[in-house]
Amino acid sequence: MKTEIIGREAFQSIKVTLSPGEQFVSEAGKMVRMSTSLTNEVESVKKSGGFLGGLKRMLGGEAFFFSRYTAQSEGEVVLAPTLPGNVGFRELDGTRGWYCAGGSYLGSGPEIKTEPKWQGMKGLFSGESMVFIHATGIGPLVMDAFGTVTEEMVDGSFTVDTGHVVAFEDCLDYTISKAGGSWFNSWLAGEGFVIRFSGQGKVLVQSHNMKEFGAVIGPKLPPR
Amino acid sequence: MQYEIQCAGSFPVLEISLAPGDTLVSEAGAMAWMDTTVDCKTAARGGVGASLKRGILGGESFFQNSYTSSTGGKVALVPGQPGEIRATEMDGQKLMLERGAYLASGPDVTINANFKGLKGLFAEGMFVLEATGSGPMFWNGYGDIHEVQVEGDYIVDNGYAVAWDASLDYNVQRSSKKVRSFLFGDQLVMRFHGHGRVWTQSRSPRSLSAWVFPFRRVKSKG
Amino acid sequence: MQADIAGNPDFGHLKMRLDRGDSVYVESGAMSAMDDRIDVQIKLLGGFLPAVGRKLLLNESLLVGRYSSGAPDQRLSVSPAIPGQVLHKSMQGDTVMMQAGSFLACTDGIKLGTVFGGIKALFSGEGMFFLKVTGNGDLWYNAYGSIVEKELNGSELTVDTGHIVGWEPSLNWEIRGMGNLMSTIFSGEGLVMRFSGTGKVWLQTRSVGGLVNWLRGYC
Repeated sequence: MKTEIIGREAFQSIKVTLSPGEQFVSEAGKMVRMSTSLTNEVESVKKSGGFLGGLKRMLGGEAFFFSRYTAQSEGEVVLAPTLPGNVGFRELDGTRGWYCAGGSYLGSGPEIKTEPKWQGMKGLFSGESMVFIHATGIGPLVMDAFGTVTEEMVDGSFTVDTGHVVAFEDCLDYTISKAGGSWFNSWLAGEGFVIRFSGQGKVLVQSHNMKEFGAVIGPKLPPR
Repeated sequence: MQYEIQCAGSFPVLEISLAPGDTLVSEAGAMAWMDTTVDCKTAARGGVGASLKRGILGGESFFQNSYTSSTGGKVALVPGQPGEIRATEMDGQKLMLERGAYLASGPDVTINANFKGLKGLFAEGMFVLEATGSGPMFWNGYGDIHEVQVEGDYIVDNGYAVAWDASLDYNVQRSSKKVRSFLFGDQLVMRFHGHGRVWTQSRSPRSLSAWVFPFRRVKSKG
Repeated sequence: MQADIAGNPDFGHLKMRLDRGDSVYVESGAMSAMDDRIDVQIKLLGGFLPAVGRKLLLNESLLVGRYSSGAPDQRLSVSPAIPGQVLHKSMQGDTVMMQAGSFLACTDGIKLGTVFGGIKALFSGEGMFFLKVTGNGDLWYNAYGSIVEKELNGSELTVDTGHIVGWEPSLNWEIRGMGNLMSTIFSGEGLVMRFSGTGKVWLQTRSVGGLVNWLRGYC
């Protein structure tokens, strides 16, 4: 398996080349193009058993859908994020896992275990209640970002608006809250939801805020 | 008619220098700035029937703008989305375009719309524009545009295909046979067959539309 | 105080470091991260509220936050909502007119005032108020897309209102329709600004209105 980030910084995508029998997993709906020698099977992980209802658009509310690509013979698949920006890439070695926040999970190798964890509160990261994808194991992990991605080292504590969080190492403690104290007027600081990280570990931060962007564009579109 | 694509990168702008006698047609809303010596007329081009077909079915604006200048002048055009602008000199070939990809063209280029899609539950088919004729044709993508040479078969998600040679055959189909895949329209793909070029864009307007859905206001009932 | 622009030309954003006593004005919603010892106060631009209604003004984003530091070396990161370029202008008593949405941040010596754009501006899609920026200090502003500068020397330029970032006050400006009524309503251009005279105008290569019109077709 070969993974390659292609494209200019503003619109990166990831190209995965697979040998016969190899597999790659992505969030469903992220495929740009692929060779016909690959098959694409959709699997789902439900929040709870039961009828999903005729959801026309899957928004992370009730279930998370994965696409599994299997190569019958040598071939490639290209995956892309939703918003303009970088693709984040980490090679996991089994020592630490990552939480992909705010819909940033893009794809991973077959040896990576991906477990959706529902956060329960709506509007934290984007418009809907959000799923963190806990990725553990060995292999490539690919993420979406809105804008440029920077890695911040946390040593003690670090607070960031939820709209800017891409992913963070699972060794970090975190709390999600409405901004308080000197961030008093939460309405000024975007929605005011922040994550306060503590401990030692890495956080991937994106330069632009998905919630702010959605809040500017959304209301100007036709009502749903 | 001279043209220049400026600010190459993510947000380029197409600047056209019109000489007396030149005509440029663009989709409505594309004009960013222009000299006051340029006249802009709004008209349904190619007759009402053709425009209706192009406009309503193709997702393009019903009304198209026509720019001329009796003394000469410049007009700057941009698409709504961030991404590349491309210029193609049409010379009798046929180029297929995704509906959001058309920006502007010279007077001898013809744009037609037809619909190719899945019958049944979801009208999530492809609205496709067909460009023929001669002269300059300007088109754009959401994000960067990559060219793929198809020899045989190739699959492209229908949100990402932005243009292709008309010589290629294609079908719109579901990417996976599993029942669950009907839950999202994104799972429609185009299977190309033959020899020709496909241009893909590096982001999908359908994915963006699905993403922005919860930010839209809720229609109040009653 | 230190301020660096990172991420240009596509994802411009500001990374600042404030010392004790430093303060900066930032447009509402643009703050992305900050250290604990920074204090925020909301301010309304232009002073009192005209009788048009608070809601309209809120949509105009005429509210700014005044961020001040109570300790040394406090970090403050600021991002505009829409990707594009962020630029800096050192103001030295000159005046610049600006689209309200283009303002990102400024230092204390800068005065921000509002100028009513006239009734036609109401329909422009960009809002009724322009900003008049004067004073001494640093001004940071953002463009959706890339910035293009045009210099007029007794000439004229027609600009779609969504593509205006700012202009020099020496220029004359007028909001108008695109020609006849049918042209204005159906051309998709809505209203345009006609500049004339001598001076510079700063334009952006994308507009929020354009993005919305494009995306609407997929909703």
